[in-house]
Amino acid sequence: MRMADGAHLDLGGYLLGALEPAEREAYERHLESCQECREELRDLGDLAPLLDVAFAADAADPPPELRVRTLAALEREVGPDARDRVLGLAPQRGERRWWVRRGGAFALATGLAAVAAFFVGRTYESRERGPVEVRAALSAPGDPSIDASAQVVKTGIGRVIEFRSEELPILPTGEFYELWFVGPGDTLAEPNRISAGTFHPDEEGRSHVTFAAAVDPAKYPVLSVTAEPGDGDPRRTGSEVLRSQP
Amino acid sequence: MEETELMRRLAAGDRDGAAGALYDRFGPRLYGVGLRLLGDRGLAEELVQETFVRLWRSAGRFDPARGSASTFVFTIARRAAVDLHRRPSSRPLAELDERDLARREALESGDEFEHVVLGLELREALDELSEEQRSVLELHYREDLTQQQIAERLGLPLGTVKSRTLYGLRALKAELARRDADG
Repeated sequence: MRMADGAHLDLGGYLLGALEPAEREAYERHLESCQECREELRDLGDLAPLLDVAFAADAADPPPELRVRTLAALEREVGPDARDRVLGLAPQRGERRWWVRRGGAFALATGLAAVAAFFVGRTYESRERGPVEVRAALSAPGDPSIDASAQVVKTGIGRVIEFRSEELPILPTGEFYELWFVGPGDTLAEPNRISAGTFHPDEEGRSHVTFAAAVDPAKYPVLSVTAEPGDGDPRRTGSEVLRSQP
Repeated sequence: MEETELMRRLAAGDRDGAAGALYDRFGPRLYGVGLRLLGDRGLAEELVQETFVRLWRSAGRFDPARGSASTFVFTIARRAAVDLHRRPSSRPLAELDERDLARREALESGDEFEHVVLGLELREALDELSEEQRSVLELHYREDLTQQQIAERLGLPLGTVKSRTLYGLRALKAELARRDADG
């Protein structure tokens, strides 16, 4: 059992650099004669730099809508390639081993047929395009040289927003554009907006992006693009560069 | 559910259940890694999505005998992060500044990448500590207080702060070992 009284207790503070100078000097003298402390110091020693990362990352929670967008990105992956992969028509080396390990030929055939039926259904559903709900032109306040277009399309999985602009300037490193659905009464102090996603123009200044959206444009009728600093703050803090008319 | 089982289900095409559960396990840490090593929220979000798309495509190649699900996911993430960082539009300015160079080195060095991943795992492990243990660590890291100052701030005997610190560190080490064994 580890000792945890007297001078040994200073091990934690010593490791973190949280002792007063006199305490540190006393503990270093103790260390010279205490093998148990030296061993535990080695054992716990990698925690201090990791705690630096852990506490520095505290403001790094992802935006809640990223989960929806990530799963929607997988939905877009459910195409012919994925179907072939599941059907075993174009298996990768490791995949073949995996399937063979876990079932006999009959189970494999019936199981894959069921999964394939699932995928065919999902693929059809995900590619079903409904009506264009919103078609919007976005313009820059005070700069007629910049404009963009966007449309919101109802699909089998929800809504997709397609955004295009050829003129958005490339931002300094670390900054990015963010597309928002804006509702009535939105202000910086009392926001009423939902992020559709973030993007960069490509190296030629083209911004052609598609987002899976989980927002009803009837409730958030205005589209806005802001230039955001990469400060980890999920709220809108940057300036608006484009806005649609309601 | 075990991460190995979730990977198996993902490989079998369970996009909604398994992918969602895997996102809940790894998404926040992937995002944190992206923020730390790619430098902005937009790229961090892309890293999460790109990692999951690649995971979805390659889940069938996961072999638990060769490593944990966590190792598999973060190996994919590191490759995705390197690709994202190399993409020209991720670095709009032609000249690489020192920060960019530092990020590139961090990404391409597996050790540094792993250090950040472990640090973020430790952040999750902090939730397993008692409030008393976590608060003394927080006060040191957030406000740079010594144990003496923490004792004064909380109105506790100095020995109590010292024991909470040491026991907290031991509990964190044990939690990391437990997660390692489960992964």
